[in-house]
Amino acid sequence: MNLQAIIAIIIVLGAAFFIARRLWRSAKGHPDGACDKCGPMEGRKGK
Amino acid sequence: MKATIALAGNPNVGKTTLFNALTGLNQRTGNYPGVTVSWHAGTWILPDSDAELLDLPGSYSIAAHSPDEAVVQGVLRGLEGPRPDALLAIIDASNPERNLYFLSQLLDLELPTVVALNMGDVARDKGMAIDAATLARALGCRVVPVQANRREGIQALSEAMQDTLYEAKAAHGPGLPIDGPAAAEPETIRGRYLWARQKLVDSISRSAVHGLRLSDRVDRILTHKVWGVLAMVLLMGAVFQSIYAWSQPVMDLMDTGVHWLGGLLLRPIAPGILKELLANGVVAGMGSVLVFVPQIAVLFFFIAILEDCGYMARSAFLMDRLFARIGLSGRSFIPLLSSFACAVPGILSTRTIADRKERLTAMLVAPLMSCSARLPVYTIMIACFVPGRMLLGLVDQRALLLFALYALGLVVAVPVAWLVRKYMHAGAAPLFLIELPGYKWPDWRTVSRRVLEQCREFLSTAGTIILAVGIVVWALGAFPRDQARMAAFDAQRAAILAAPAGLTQTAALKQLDIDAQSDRLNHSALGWAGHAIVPAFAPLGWDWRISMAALASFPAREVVVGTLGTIFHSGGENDEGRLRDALKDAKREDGTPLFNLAVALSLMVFFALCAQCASTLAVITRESGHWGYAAFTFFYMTTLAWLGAAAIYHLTLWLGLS
Repeated sequence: MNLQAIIAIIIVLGAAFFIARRLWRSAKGHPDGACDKCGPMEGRKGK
Repeated sequence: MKATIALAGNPNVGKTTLFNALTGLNQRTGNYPGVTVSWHAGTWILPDSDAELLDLPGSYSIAAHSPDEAVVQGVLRGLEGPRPDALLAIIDASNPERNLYFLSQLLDLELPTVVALNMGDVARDKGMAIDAATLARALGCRVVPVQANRREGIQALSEAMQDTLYEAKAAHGPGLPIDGPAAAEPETIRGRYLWARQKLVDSISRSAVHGLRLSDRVDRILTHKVWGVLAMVLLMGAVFQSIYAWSQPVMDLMDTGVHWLGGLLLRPIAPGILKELLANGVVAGMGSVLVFVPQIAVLFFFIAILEDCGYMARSAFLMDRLFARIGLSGRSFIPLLSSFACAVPGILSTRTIADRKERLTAMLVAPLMSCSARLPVYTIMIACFVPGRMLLGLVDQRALLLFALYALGLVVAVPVAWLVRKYMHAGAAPLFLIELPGYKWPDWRTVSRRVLEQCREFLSTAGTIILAVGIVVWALGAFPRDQARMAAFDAQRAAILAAPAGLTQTAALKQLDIDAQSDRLNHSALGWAGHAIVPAFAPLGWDWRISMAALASFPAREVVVGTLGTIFHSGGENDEGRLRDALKDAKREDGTPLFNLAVALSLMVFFALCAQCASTLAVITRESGHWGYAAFTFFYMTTLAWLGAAAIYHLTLWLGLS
């Protein structure tokens, strides 16, 4: 397997993991009421 | 240990604007009641120490009627943790008596308190002036005049709060009951208003203002039952015309830029699987989406202006008449309006609705409003398949169609809400009272911040998921590879190359490449799944590629344009040009064009009505307290979307408009 194929596999697996993580967070509902597009909506602590 | 200070006041008196000025944060603000529905915390740097400042939702009373008011009660009474160490009460100088009613309750909490006297400019326009020093003597606590939107009086307010924290001296109100049935007794209410008038008698001065104020004169038209509705329709029409006219040149420029940049990035990479992934998965998917940033910016520019100038409250007032007929009130209209930007904050803002049945109904119909994630699919379909023609020399018919798609959600929401109120959550339409804020010129800092934040969020949060989905869709469309089929195409290529070179050979090679890529996509995992599901979407006029793009968009609808970009560039019909050209060139298996007006309309109506957002369903579950509401929303919206898309497809064909 050449280097291009190895890099492509890593990118695809990374993307799949990212989607799964995002889906899980969306389905669970963000603790701070965040939306995937709009960011946190409430109770954000910061300076 | 850091002191905790609660910032409280009536709705729409500038709490969040003051909070942002004191903490340097950028929480969302708007010139209508109900923008803040939960608490925000930030650090307020005082002269000698730091304090934690809690921005609370607006409230008229400590006794809670709606979920957002329950947050105020919970924090101030210490029901959800320790009581705050001090209070920063903000009052609207142009409406002091009503504001002092709530202040009387806050002072009865007997906490060290500082009063911020905001909106002095509006009071001056009304011919009123309040002397802060006299009011401070009457109230027995520090009163600091501020102009939160211009960051004026911030230093004096910080010093006053620091001194108050050092003294730790509790303020005192009239000593009347603040909760329980006794708080709602007419004597208690009268007692509080009497206290407010007594405190104001020496500190307020009024000069005569003749005739109606400009705000009142404008309201005679904008809140009129006929002219008001007409003005609202014209205003929205103008907004959509502008979205179309203003963003198109910038979009074309970005489109060219993105493809130039894509070419530049891909040039040094040797041909192979990685280059294929980057070209068809990353550049095609991401590039198809980047070009929509100008439209998102223009849409939010108008939303921010409408929110800041004071028109939102008027539109809620106008819609109250219509909403009362379906068992809702104008209060439900504000969450629906917020949902035109995004359904998640829209659903959160239903917390301002005291009546639980009305709140649940508003929650169920809020996702029908066209959020910003639907805009790219509308724009690309309209740009490709709806001819630009001026109607009556005034409005571009493409802008009118965009307006109609946005109106569709609201039109469909009316019967849905009526059915829900009739069969699920029966009850009379609650009484609707809303305070109409004075009109004001939008604060350009607020508007530009909102636009920039939304563009940044679109790129960073929507963009990353679009990129990831594009990569996975490319992989599914590129594998598995049938070696025998690839060998057959290689043999054909060798045969063409063996023939004499010339234009015919070049054309034959190009066609062979298209056929090879199309064949590979058809026999890939994506093609296999697409062919399996296509019978479900065939009545909508879709082929397997559109069906797969729509199916991939169920968790988050914003991925559809990127997915279409990846699929149609991988298909080989147009692997270098813009998505628009790829969609126009796409063919069905019988060689006829895949897209026409009927297919474009059916895709747009499907996206307008379908529940393709996991975040929205999650927030419905959380806010309603039961997953059944999210499941109901998903099923009724998906069914409506399918039926609506099939109906518009067959109607367009029947009318011969394609």
